[in-house]
Amino acid sequence: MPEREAPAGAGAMRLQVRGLTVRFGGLAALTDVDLDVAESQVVGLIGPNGAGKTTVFNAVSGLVRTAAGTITVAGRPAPRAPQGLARAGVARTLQGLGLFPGLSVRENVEVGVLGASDPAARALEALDDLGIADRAALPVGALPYPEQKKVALARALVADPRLLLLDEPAGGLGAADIAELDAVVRRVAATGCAVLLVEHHVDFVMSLCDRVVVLDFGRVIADGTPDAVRRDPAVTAAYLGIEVTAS
Amino acid sequence: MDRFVFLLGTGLARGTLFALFALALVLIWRSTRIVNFAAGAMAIVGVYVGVAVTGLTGSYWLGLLATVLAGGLVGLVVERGLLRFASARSPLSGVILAIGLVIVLQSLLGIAFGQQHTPVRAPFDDRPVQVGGVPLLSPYDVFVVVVALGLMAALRLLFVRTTLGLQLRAAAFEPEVSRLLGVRVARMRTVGWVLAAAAASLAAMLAVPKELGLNPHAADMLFVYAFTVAVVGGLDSPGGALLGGLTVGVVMSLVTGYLGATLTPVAVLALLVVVLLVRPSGLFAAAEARRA
Repeated sequence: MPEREAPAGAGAMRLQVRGLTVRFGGLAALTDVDLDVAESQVVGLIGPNGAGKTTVFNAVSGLVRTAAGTITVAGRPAPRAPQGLARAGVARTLQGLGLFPGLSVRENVEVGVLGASDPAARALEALDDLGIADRAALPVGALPYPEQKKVALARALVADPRLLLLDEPAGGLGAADIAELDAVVRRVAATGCAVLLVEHHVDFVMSLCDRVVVLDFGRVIADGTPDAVRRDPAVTAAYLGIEVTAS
Repeated sequence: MDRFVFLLGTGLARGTLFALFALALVLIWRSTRIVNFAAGAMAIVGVYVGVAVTGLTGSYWLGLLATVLAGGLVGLVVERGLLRFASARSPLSGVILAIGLVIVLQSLLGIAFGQQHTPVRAPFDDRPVQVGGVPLLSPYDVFVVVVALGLMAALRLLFVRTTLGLQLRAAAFEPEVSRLLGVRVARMRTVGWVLAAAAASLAAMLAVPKELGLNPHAADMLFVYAFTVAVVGGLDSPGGALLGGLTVGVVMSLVTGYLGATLTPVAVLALLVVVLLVRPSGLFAAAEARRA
């Protein structure tokens, strides 16, 4: 497959996916997927349920075996096992919260930065950045859902990742929390971190992302700016439909 | 009243031993969802090593240290060589492997050392000290309580205050998420098995002088009572192991003292049944659910 050029105006490439194919038994979950995320870029990965969005994350994370294709993180092959992800400068949130129910808020975040010299202090800083440092000592299960989402985000941010994978970060949040999340992601991207996010909340994706990649049945059907994707008839037919026309 | 105080004291002393052994079961259960039915047989291997070292060196303390180290080594070998291959999808596979291990270990110990009970001397006087005419704990009982509680406190510090402990807890709560965060989950499971097996061996070494003596089955009843303790306290709850241990120890002591030793196993069984009927997750189990 010929090398695709980096998107215009993009910095150094943080994530480069080429010809990614993943099969679950006889089912092709992803077929020949190409994807680029450069530093400081926020890229949205959208598509109908079952399109393969989370499978892309799982492939990058080393959680599923790829049948074909390459994944490079900052120019190096992506770790084959999930435990190498953090060392490669990649952090990820999960579709569910993925928090540790028996640990405190601070401990939950601390697990994200265990290699640091003072993980507890770093965890408190990350919580403070998101405005929930006063919850640090509480059991994580005692927090309301939006604050639990912040804990999951703080855990992903605490190690200062160079590539951030956010799986449905706006899921279950109200308008105020989504606006706050929008500001946090922009702030993180401004530091040079590349952000790839999977999200069902289309308005949030279209307003936040520099580029949007649309998956349908495991294939990329569109890749461009939010405006270009909105106008793409293939996307309208496969996924966005009336919602976009109306907005 | 004197009798009650004496029985209460000995019950609490015995209970700390049950608690320590139950803690070993809890540690394994939390990290692997396996009830380690081989815990007793594994612990006795460590005790044989400890008794042999004591015999060779004449030092009980070296023997005690050797027991802990040998117990940990047995835990390492069993986890790396056997239980790691238990299917995560079938809880029964780990249980069946553990039961098979009991048969193999006890047979090998029987072939090597025979089935006779070899008396093991306590390092301190085992006769109760009289205070104001009331018989209380023996010096050996006090030693057992101090060592067992000391080790449990040390384990708590390890789990709560250290990065290793945080990784052990994280790996036990959410193995997949832990992997994504860079925690070496397989290594944490091995560490958990080593700690648990070392603690169980120490508990068995402390218990043997108060029993008939050392033989391949010497920890069988300790395992049964500790299992009851773990269920009473909550298999997921280290704190429950301590409270459950003290509860079972006192119940056993009072029943033995007032109703006779023959009724003790019945009382323990009754306690187990009542807890399973009323609160199956254990009296002191944490409220939150945990994924395996």
